[in-house]
Amino acid sequence: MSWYTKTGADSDVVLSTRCRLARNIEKLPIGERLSDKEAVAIIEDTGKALGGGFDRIDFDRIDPLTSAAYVEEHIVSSEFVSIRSPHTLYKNDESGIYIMVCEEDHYRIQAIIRGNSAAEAYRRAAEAEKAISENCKFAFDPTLGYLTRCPTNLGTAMRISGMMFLPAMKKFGEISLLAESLSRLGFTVRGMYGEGSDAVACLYQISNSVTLGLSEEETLTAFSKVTAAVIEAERRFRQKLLVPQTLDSVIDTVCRAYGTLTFAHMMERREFLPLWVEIRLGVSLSKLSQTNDILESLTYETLDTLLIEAEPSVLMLMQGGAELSPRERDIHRAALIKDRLTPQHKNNN
Amino acid sequence: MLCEKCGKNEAAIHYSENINGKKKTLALCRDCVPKNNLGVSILSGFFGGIGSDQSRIIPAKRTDFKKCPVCGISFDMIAATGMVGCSECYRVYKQELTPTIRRIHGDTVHKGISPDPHTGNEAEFEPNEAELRRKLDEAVANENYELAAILRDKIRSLFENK
Repeated sequence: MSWYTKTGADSDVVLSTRCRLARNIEKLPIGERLSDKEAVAIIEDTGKALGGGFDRIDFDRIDPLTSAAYVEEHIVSSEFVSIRSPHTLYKNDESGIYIMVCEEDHYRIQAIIRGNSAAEAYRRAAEAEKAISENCKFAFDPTLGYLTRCPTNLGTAMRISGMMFLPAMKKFGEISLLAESLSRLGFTVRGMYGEGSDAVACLYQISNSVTLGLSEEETLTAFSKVTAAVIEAERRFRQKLLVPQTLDSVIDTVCRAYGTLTFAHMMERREFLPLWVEIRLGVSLSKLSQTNDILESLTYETLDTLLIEAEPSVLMLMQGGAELSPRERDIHRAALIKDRLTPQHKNNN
Repeated sequence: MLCEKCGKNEAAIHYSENINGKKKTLALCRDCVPKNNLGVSILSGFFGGIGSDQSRIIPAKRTDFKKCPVCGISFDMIAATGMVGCSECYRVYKQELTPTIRRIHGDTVHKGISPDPHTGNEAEFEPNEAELRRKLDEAVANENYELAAILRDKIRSLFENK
């Protein structure tokens, strides 16, 4: 059961919170300058330090489809997949800990939590970091903090980010203003599933851009305040959609999206994403206004899991791992969506 | 080598001009390079000059051909990729990297947690008071009072309250 199938706080707006700590072992080359022998030694030592409870996946030995699926699940970076020398993922799905070993830095320790939960994400990442540190000595300088391969990550080397669903703010044209305001506060807004403010799935990653000169605690506090403000703003704009003048057309759009998704025989990914947005928004509005029983009964976990399951590599893995043509994928995607969104699916569970 | 134009600062790059087919090369400091020839890409700007227009801006030749003893990387390579080859590079290329780090992060120092002192390596991991005091003196001498205040607070919190 991967991180995205769980429930979480403020899920109407926040899909997940991720805390990433970058660490390097001192006096060892990083990246392509690290020999295969040194990389294997780091990987082995990490396994011993972590003990049980973690699955080890050697990415230089797995098939391209499986590794691409990990990228689509947001568990590893696309850069990690393209590395040729030994590199490994240690994962614990239960606690949402995913450690990339020998990525851009020796360690990218990530904790991914469903919903809005920065403090907990940090706690879990720090716990894994402590376990690894028992077996090695992290490169650290009193003035520069943790020493990372790219100077932009120096200091805490911590990146805290939230994946936010902001369809109402996008409808009201508020995203660029949000990005501008958050930039002044030391945070970055990046569109997921698309570039900049054109994020087709209305998903935006908000993360800290400052790592040197602020403590972990200060960064987490600032992030929590920023997240709370964004959640409040998005909910306020959603309320604006519920006024009588717009409510009927909003309900109509959502119901048409539901109709297309549950009756289509073929579904391309690019057609699916904007319809998924309407359904997810419709679910939150239905919970607010009790406008539609079917939508009201859908959960955010079902929808967010579907978003990942509908990705090409994950979809093909679910169908047994054989390479499918785009046409075959579209047919399987349509069937999957129909299955996940119809009430029968819910009753079967 | 000093800048061949102002004669004050250390030369950072070799600047080539082609006038009527005649090539002229000067070793210049960053202040004296014509502005439209700087900052070709974000990271090349950070590191002082290698960009897509490499025919015109190249890093100044070093006489010592310094290489990091741990990873073997040269500073030219760090400048080209925007990344160090190991953590030791921050010590080896401290002088070269400091302007870059300052440009990215400003005059700030680490305020977060330090590695667990119980790993058996306390002496090397503990912030070094003498080093911080030296940096404080340096900041005051350079009239960088903002950094001096940060360093003063850090020294107070780490050593004077114990």
